Amino acid sequence: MSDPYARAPTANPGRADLLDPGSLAKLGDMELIARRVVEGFLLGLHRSPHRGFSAEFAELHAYRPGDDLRYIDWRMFGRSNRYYVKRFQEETNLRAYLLLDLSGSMDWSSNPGELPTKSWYASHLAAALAHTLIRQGDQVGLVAFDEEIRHHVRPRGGPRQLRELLLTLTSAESGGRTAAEGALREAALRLRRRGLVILLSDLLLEAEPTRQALHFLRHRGHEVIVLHLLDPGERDLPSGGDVRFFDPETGDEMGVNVPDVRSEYRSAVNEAVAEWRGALRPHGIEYGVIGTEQPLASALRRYLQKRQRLG
Amino acid sequence: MGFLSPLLLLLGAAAAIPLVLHLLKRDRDRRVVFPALRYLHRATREHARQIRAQQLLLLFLRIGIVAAVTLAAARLLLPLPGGVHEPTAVALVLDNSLSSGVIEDDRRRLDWMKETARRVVDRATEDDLIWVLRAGEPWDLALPLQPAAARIRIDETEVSHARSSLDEVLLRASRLLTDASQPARELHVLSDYQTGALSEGTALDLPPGTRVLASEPAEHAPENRFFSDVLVGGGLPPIAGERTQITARVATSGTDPVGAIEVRLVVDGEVRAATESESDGSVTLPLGPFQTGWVSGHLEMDPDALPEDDRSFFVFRVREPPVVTAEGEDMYFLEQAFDVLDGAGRVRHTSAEEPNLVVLAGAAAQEEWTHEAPLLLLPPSDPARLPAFNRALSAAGIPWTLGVEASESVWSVADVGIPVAIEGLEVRRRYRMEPRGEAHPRETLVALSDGSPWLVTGETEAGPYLLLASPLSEEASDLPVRAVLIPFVDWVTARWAGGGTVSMLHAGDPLATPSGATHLYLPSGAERAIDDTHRFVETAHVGIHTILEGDSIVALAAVNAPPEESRLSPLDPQQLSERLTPDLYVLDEPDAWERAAFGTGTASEPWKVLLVAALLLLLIEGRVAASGAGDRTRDAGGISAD
Repeated sequence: MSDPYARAPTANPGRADLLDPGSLAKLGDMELIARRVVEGFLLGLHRSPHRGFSAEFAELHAYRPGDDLRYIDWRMFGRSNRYYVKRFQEETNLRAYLLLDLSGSMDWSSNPGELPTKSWYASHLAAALAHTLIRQGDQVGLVAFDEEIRHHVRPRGGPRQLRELLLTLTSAESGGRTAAEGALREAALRLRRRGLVILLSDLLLEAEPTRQALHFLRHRGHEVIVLHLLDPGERDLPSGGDVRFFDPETGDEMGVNVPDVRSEYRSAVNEAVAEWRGALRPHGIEYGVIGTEQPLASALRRYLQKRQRLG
Repeated sequence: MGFLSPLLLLLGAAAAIPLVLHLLKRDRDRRVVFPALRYLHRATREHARQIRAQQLLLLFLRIGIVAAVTLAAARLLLPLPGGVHEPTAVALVLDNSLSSGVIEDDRRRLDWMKETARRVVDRATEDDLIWVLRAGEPWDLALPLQPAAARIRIDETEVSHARSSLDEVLLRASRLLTDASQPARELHVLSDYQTGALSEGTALDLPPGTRVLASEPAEHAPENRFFSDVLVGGGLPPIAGERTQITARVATSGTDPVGAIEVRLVVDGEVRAATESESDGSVTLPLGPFQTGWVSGHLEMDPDALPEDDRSFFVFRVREPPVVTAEGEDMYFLEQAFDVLDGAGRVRHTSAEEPNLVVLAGAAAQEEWTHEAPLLLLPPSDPARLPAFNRALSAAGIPWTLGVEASESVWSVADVGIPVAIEGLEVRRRYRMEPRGEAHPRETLVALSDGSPWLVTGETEAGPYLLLASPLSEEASDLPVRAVLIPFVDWVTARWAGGGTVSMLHAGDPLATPSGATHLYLPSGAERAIDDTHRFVETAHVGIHTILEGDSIVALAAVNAPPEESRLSPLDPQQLSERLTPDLYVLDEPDAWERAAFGTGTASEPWKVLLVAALLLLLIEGRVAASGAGDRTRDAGGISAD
């Protein structure tokens, strides 16, 4: 069984989406990183065996029974011997909200200097997603929250919106406790027609209210993606004997003998992940665990799969 | 339980380290920022009991590891059989007396004893001291031996035909153990405990704490037949051409029934006569005639459980009738006796030939002696001539002085060391005999009822002599007027007129050799030199001893087993316990003996077991401690990326 957390190869310097986050952080500011990640990601799609996929992604979609034959793109048929149906801007325009967790727990890396914090990873992933969505013609908004909503950018499209989003993301600072349900309900209120909500969080919060809020969003007809960010140092306890662990978000402390509880801790993480998955997926909520050591491409691919289903 | 290196027990304090760390760890924890504390809470909440059990298990494992290493380092000793023991002084008594040659189940008792002794020695260490003490011969200096030397001493031990004394050797063992410096002491007694081997009395005076291991007395004695009271010619050697006879008593011991016993007479390697005897009966077999010279032979019967005593050896010297002469006063009765013996061909009473025995009495004894023959000296009847008689004795080198009794009395002959029945004879007049100096060996042959010597013998540079304390007159004693005078004179002439006696010794008795003897051959053929004392003491084995002067055989001596060693009745176990110690370990098997030996502080040093246990605990501890780390791949796989 392959390790889903193994780092992606970094041999391709032209593919910023495949760079590990530590290397990616050295490329420049958020705008540059986001643009290069998205461009690299799209380049990868063009080179994939499924030719025309990027076209489908942007303007066309594969013919499905029931589609209006009047809109078949015969030029694409001539080129690819496949049927594609032209998409109209109005049909493909999507309102999306990026919900970014800015709580204190996000501002932590198990290997500072080598591995970015969850907060850095989340904001850059949000930037890349925003870049992708806007490039696709969708409208993107942002809600950055901790125990309160700290930043709110209304969904719009266009390059100006992207710049505003990047400015907001750049200026957002982590801190405070976490209460995602407020941000989720805010997004639900502002998305009047069906849209896409992407939650980027380490989910170190009160689970039940958050799940209820997510269920509510889904109930309102929105598509929901939950990207659960996990630092590799959270999946496994650090080495050592007797250690006193301190939670910067809550101020709680706990002393344990690491070897004594290592196995149980890992089980607890697995159980928590399983609980999230079990609580969300039956409701049609996309849930994925993203390790902060993984390239941003893996998170973008997850979005892409969801976006495809949205049509 | 004990420790060979108790100071290293201080390492045991390290066992408290895990405990202290366990108790104090909260104050010494490393502080780490960790936002996912809720997972940790969840882990400890859901597995609190398991974690606590695991922590306790780890605590005990770590304490166990330190304890095991500490005990191994301190060289823990556990009281287990087969292990090391305290330095021990062991007195190993091997009763190799004649009865140890008894064959039971095709094996000699001595071999059983030797095997047991070897098993004991094999368990000894260099820190132990072992005395191997034999009850029988050969006697050795009681030197403490190392195990290897003790084993050699045991291997060399053979059945001794000599008289042995278990009492004596136990006393030696007791003294040796008392003086031993070893912290532990053990007395091992390997014996068959014949009746009489241990005298009755108080228990041995052993040092406190001495462990006594003793072989188990047999419940019943095997049947044993042996000869006793073997006599050739009634105690007098035969004259050349004269027929004589040999008599013996066939004794038995033991509880098994015994039928008729065949007895054979063997002379010069040939069976000359045979007869049958009942148990405890007597046999008489004809012997001779022989030419002059030494004759040796033995009586024998079929071998039984103790074959060592199924032969009885004898030797005697056949001689021509000795020439005797007598000078001095009060010779009437003696002359008559000589004439009777002359008529019987036992002596030749003449002064025409060089005498083989000279009898000097009274004044004749005061004159200068020119005879080279043995002398029978009789004191003067007149006490006034006693000083002159004493001067003559002194001049001749005879270490006796005669004195006049202060008061008149009557005595009887009491202690008789000659084979002539003169006990009870009345003595009315006698001179008091007092020894003078220690120049020459002397022996009292007959004593009176007051214990004073009456007939003595010895040997001067001129030759042997006999000295009687009374004149040979009817006023002085009954001897001249009794019929016993004839056998008395016959014995004197036979014994001292060159024929010698029928020499019958018991093994272990000293052998008096002729003055000119230089060496002898043992029954085994081994040669031994004879020193100036002319007392040979190495008569440990039965058989014929050949005594030589240069290349010439000058005498033979027959050595037989002491009859008391042939009586195999075992000792009462109660008596054994009373004689040795009440806390007696009675053992009947070499295996049991080996296990019981060196029982003081016997312990095993289980350092290997402890180190293996420590390693096992370490592995378990590592396994338990690492169970937190678990299988990374498996657990990581539990979080799906989808």
